[in-house]
Amino acid sequence: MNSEEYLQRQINLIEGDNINVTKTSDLAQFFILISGIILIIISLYFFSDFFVHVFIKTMPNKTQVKLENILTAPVNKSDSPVLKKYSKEIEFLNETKDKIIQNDISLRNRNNIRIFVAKNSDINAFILPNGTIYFTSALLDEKLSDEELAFVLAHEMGHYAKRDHLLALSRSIIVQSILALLFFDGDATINLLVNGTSNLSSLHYSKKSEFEADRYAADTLVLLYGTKAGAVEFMQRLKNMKNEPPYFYYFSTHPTWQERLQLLNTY
Amino acid sequence: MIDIILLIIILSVIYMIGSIIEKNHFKKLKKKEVEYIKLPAVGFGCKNWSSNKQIKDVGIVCGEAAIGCDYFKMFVSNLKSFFGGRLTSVESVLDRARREAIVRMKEKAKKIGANVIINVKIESTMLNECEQKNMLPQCLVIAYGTAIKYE
Repeated sequence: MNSEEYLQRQINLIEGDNINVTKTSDLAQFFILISGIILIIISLYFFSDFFVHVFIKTMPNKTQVKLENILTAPVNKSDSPVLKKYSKEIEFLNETKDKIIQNDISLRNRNNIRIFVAKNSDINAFILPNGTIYFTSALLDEKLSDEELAFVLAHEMGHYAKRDHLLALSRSIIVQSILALLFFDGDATINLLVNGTSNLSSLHYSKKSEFEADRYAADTLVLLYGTKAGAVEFMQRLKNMKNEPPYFYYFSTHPTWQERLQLLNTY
Repeated sequence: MIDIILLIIILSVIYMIGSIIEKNHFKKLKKKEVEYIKLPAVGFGCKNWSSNKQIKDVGIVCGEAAIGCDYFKMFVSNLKSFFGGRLTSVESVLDRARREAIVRMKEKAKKIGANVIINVKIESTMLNECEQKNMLPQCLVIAYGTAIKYE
């Protein structure tokens, strides 16, 4: 081989493909890895959610009461001015609660339910993971009839009976731990995110569980008053009350009144 | 959320800048390698090298190059090392550092007027140990050899 040929071959080696560097682009690699990680996180979420769901639905009543006792912080709000103002309503609600518990065998061994009033301008009622049901003062100011109030209470107790309040808590814990796994150190933004997910009044239930709670409430109304007219009446009231723009429903904690009314009528 | 958006912006900007720098570097390296192609650098000759030609001058020549890994490459390689496998994004950094070191060594030998470099060794070290988070790996390659000038 003469030297000219040899030089040309060397130059070709330099100009040609680089063996030491893989040809794949970094950007493609980046997207493959990111999508892989997102896929893993989503599957992790659904996997753990499924197992917690099975556990919560099948655990004995004793365990539920224990869990709720752990979650209960020692609070004594019995003499707050808000409670005094609405003492009549609370008395009625407590009576109705006892009636509902008497009618439902499954609730007899696990009635941790307490009823409180929260001062808030939103019309809402929600149940905390420890079984405390909060009625907002705005809801009680609406001067609902007894049947309507019983419907709202029975709806929240339907969540309790189906253990939705514990499910929502477990879901937020799963989200928190996944976030903590992702961002190893506790950044300020992460804390914000975590606080957002564990915000008590923003505990979301699935549409299915909302409808189940509605069904439970309608059943209870039929048992207590012989008719579910109170439920329909409450839905009509919601219809008249809520003239907010449609995106309100997107962020609200319950399905729209149309859907709920349809369910109650067909049920 | 702001953090994630900021991260995406930083990553995309650094990807663009980094890829331009890398492209230009490879272009320069190819040009210089072709320029010094007639100066052979060989790895043998530590003990039993002999030549028929008269030797006029002998000297050590070395070239060093420190190349930093950009943030995007580090991000991708960190993700990749989560699963394991070839860290393809940092391969080019090591390759650039090695070739740059050899080119600089040859450049120095050319200044002396050497005909051949024997007993070439290539060594690499990390400038920082990357113990702390958010520290970019920097690759340092040293190439050294004995430059020989014939009579």
